Amino acid sequence: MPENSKEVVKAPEKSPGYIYLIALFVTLVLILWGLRSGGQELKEIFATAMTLCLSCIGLGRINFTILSWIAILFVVFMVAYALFGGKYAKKNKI
Amino acid sequence: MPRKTRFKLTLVKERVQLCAFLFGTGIFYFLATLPPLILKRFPMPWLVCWSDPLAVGACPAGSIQHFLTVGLFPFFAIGFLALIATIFGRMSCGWLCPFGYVQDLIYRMREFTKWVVVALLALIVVYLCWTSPVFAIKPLRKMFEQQKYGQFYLWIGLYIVIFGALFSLFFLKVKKFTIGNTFANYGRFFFFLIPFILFPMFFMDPALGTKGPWFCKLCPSGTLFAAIPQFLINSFPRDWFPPFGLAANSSFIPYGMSSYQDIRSMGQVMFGLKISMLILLIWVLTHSKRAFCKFACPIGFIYSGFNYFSAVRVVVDKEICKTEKCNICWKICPMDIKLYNKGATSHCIECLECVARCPHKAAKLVRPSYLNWLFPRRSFTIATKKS
Repeated sequence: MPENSKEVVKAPEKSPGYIYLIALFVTLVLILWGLRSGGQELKEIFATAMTLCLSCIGLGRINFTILSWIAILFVVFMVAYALFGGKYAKKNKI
Repeated sequence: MPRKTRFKLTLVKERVQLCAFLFGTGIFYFLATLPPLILKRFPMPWLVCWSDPLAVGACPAGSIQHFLTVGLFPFFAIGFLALIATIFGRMSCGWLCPFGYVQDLIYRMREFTKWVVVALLALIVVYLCWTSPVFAIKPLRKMFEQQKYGQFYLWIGLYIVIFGALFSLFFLKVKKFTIGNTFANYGRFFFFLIPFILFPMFFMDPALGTKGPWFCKLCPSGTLFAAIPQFLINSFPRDWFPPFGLAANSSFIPYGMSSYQDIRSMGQVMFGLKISMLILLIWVLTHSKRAFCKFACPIGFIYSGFNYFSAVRVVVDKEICKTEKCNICWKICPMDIKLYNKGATSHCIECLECVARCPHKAAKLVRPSYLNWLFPRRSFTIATKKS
């Protein structure tokens, strides 16, 4: 990377204040919406959290078809990275 | 910032992480007297499995996936995560996440106590293979009791090949490596989109008979905090677990013991895969910092978009930053990012190590500029390239 002081100029900090306020408003709306009708969503989360999650523990039968699909898609993503992402990374010195 | 203050910040962070780990996982039972049944209604702002026997809260990843499987939008879970991220950005990844803390610990003690970790893991694997089917259709113990020695030795051989290959990785001399930002972006976008969002919405899980949380099936946090403790606890009689100082009629029952059943016989190929993936991840973590956070965590991915405008965030003053000439931020960063690089912001977990240790004071913690209206402060500048 070239000498930084030659390449940069001062600029005021980008003001994210209004984005922050919009995001805050949206999150509060989402939370209040989730709490509607006596906190039904919280009861749903509670009911699920209190069951022994077979997936988390890794119990039960395995579905090789779906796991194979996940693996195939993963390979496709990585190939896409090798073809396009690598060039992007090099260009941006990441 | 004076030198003493700098390192005080690191110490404070480590203590906060430890407390959050103990609180989140409940691993030492010391928070058992709190009413966790109430906290279980709320998704925690970090990744911790809700099948952890003593987890005090619900897993946000599990909650979101559960709502997607039943065809509902998780308003509360998303809203709660977004609220935390809007205020703190990814700070909860750096300061609170129990799995992040475990990753930090594994990397930090890779030189001195790696062999202790490997020996412990090997012991756990041997014990699990003895008591549970893991990859086979029966546990080794049953094969031995039924005097099926042919099967018994065959499976011992196969286990040695499978887990031997995994553990042999620890004996290889591999240099420390960094997961690049772009590579990490592909990984976390994949894990967020495919097993976390799309698969729970559309694909049935035969083990459950409904649509399933597919990310949980791969999640190493679930293996470490839930699967292994549940299997170990389940291996002993329930009487061996006193109520840990609680009154006999206490409403608190360590989670999982309440539905005490023999789950060991149910841990088959999927369980074996989860154990294998955890061992593989631990090996990666001994060579690369916070690989899971960078490459796969969907909660971190949700948080990362908020890093650009959150109330608390780290910025770098490129005018005084010495970039490649210094690189202190890169060396000390738990996410292996160069703060001055394009694309680094979304990976920053706001651990504040760079803010505390930057010799040029180029890394700074800022609050949103609208707060300047209320609290005047020195005008901060971010350098931009000349067009």
